[in-house]
Amino acid sequence: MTQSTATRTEKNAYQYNMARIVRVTPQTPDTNLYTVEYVNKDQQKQFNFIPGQFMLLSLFGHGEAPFGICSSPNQTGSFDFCIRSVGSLTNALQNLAQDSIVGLRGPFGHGWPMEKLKGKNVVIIGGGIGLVPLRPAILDILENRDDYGTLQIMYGARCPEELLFKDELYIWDNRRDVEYVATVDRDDEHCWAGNIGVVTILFDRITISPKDTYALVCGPPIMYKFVMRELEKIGLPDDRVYLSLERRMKCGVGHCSHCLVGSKFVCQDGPVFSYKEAKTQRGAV
Amino acid sequence: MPPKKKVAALILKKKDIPKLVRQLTQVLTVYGPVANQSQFKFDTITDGSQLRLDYDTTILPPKKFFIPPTEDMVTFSQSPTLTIHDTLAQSDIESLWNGKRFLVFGVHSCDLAAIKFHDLILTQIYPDPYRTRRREEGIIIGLNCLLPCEDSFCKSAGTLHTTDSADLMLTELDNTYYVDVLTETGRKVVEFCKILFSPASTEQTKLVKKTLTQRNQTFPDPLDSFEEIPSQFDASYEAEMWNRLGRRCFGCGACTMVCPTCFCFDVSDRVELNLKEGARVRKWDSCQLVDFALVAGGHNFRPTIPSRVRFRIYHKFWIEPEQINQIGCVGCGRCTRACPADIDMIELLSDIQKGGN
Amino acid sequence: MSTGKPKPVVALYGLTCCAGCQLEILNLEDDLLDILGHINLVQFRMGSSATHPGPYDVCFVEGSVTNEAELTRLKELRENSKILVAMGACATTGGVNAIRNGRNIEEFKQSVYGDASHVNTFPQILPLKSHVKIDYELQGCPISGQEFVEFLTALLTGAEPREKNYAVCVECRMKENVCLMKEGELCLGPITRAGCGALCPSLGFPCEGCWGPVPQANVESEIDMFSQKGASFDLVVRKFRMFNASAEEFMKQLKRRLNIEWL
Repeated sequence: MTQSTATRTEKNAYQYNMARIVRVTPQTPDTNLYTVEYVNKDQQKQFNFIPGQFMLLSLFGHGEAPFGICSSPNQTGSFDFCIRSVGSLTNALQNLAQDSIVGLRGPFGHGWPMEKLKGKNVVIIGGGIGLVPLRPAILDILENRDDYGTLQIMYGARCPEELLFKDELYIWDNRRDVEYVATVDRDDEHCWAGNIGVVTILFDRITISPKDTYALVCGPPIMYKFVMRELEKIGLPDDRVYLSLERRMKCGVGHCSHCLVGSKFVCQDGPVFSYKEAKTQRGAV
Repeated sequence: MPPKKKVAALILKKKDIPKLVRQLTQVLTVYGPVANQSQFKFDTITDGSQLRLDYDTTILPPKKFFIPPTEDMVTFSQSPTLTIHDTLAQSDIESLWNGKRFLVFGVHSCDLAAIKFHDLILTQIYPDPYRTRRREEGIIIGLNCLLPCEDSFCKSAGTLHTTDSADLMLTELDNTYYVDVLTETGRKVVEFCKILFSPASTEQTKLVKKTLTQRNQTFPDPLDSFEEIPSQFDASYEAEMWNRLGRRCFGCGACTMVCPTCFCFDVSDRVELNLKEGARVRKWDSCQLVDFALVAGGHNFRPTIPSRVRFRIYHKFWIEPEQINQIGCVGCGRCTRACPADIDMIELLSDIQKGGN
Repeated sequence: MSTGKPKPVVALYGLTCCAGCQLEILNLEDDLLDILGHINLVQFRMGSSATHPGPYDVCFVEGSVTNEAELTRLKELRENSKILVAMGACATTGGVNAIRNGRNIEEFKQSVYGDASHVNTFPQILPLKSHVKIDYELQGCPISGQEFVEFLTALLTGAEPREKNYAVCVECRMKENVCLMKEGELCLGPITRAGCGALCPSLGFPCEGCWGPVPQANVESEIDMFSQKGASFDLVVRKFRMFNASAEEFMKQLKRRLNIEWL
């Protein structure tokens, strides 16, 4: 077989673009919001993404890892990642000062089906750090509120301290055109007046109409099975439920095979799958 | 482009192999099978006498020349500001015959099939640029097996006849090799060493055909309807056989290290002791290792040995057929030969065919 | 990466051992000057007679705790060190010191020293992590100089040192060695943590397990394979206990499988 020699001149998807951290906004004791901009101004101008897509972010000397883009797709001049420190790379990120340089490649993968959501009701269910890839979809809907039907947001965290984007949660809670409910697994400090329990208890606090409704779900691996069961009970068809899967990833372009679920690469075919599609792949949910 | 001339089959005398190697090593790095303790391996050849074209199989497949065990993808340095350098950018050195830089001598059919398999699986979404470069730089001289090797099932896997991905294909014929020229690159190799090649006679062509036909009949065929295994795998997914295998398997990853079709890799950074320079390195990884499906925060999607043993087969016999309509096993038998727990791939696949219990 | 911060204060201490790990570090001749450019090595008996009372940013401890005095010393070092690293098999699995475990220590003392009334030693040797909190472990008998350098480099760049959670077989196959298990040898490679670069198998000797158990080590299967190769019960036990008599992952399964009370 003779291979195309064209690939040599094509852009190498394994190569990095430098980005500068312009702002670090602490969210919780172990989670920061990093606002970044490409060092190359033209590149920053041309940058765009679909809510739900991710990028591989790296610190040279510390490796790289996939992170969902966290800002509104309508934000210009910069974009955000919200990262919890749980490992070598993320711990090193936490120690970075403003103006530090990171490497980025991507965005990769399929995001939330924003086009299909137009004119429909949207239910968003996030667990813990799973709110991160959902935030661009929420912000996009809020910034184009008239394009969509009802917006219901269900959010669960381990404890009140771990709730992300607290300022925004307050705003969502107080907007008339958003129904927002939240819960925490436990409240050791007794500082929480709201629901206590896992995210599925929120299905008793909210009424979801299956008619013309789409659900977007992201949370820890254990959460999906239980949330899918609740959505099935409500009668939401599988092809209107979307979920973002997390897997180990090393390449982002369908080579390294760490992220395989069934015959699908989470990095390229996902990370967002319809539940209908995910169900056909062993071990997805 | 001039019209393609049909190149007749050629004859290369065995005693001329050292001359051929000498000629080739002047312009290319030549790799070929050499003795390695009680077995064989592909290694750099500087002298034709090192070549062991009578080898049965090698510990590692020639995959290592196209996807090396470790490979720097990017180098970086911090002096004084951070700069990064794509290692692919270094490859544009003009060389012989459209960038050819190395030659692998004596690759058996199973391994030729595996190289072709990688050509497909690693380009399905986006061509792996590092492997693509090495494929462009490499010349492959195939060698027909006339004797089966232990533990292999190439005839069942349908790779016994493969000449895919070879530029020249050799078949042993008494004191000579019968040479099929399969590609333009192959033709250039012959051209470069043309005094060593003579045209094959009609009798020799007939004799090679007869030899290969006889070979096809004598090779073992331990697995019936190999191509049915993907559908049979479905039925065995929850079967007891995986627990049984899991109790024996060490999860050591030896099977995947020696596999010609495995290609999973890990990416990590190496920092030099000067703390200013380093590289982003990709390194062979294995789905059999405990960390393979571990994510940040500690969740492991395949936490047990049985789940990982099954995944190896799932990937080769179900996922890859779904993706590119080809089974990811060429029947070389290396995994059986490498397994410290004596797990036999033929037995394993027969168990799947029997329903897995 | 490189910072203008003061160099970390680093100490190397030895408890009961052969000091082979310190020797391995001393042997890093090509790298030693670079290393000393990055750290303030204040205590390294094999390389210098200087001593330093601490506190230390990083303290490497080789050897096993064999008596009260060493236990006190280890606790002091823990108190005195931000990062405490157990270095070498004696420190991480008990190493050869632990061969005594489960045996009659008085008999051992008698056969080695004759009159052993002056020998004061614990009957059991435990990994350092059983005595104090250990932050990191560098395995091996002795450690690998390369792993030591990689470990230091990671600490100096603020990266988390990467654990090799896989068996020697990975390194051994990458080196294209003939599998010694397949040649009928009793090799502990399949259940031993990588890091040595398959040193022994590359020289034709089966792995003795000095890097300690790999996570999820399938000890049962290893015992089966050894038995199939004709190894006696006694030989299997000795093989497992050479470097790992105090490695719980091995001993628990060995005890259950071979029904050995004294392990």
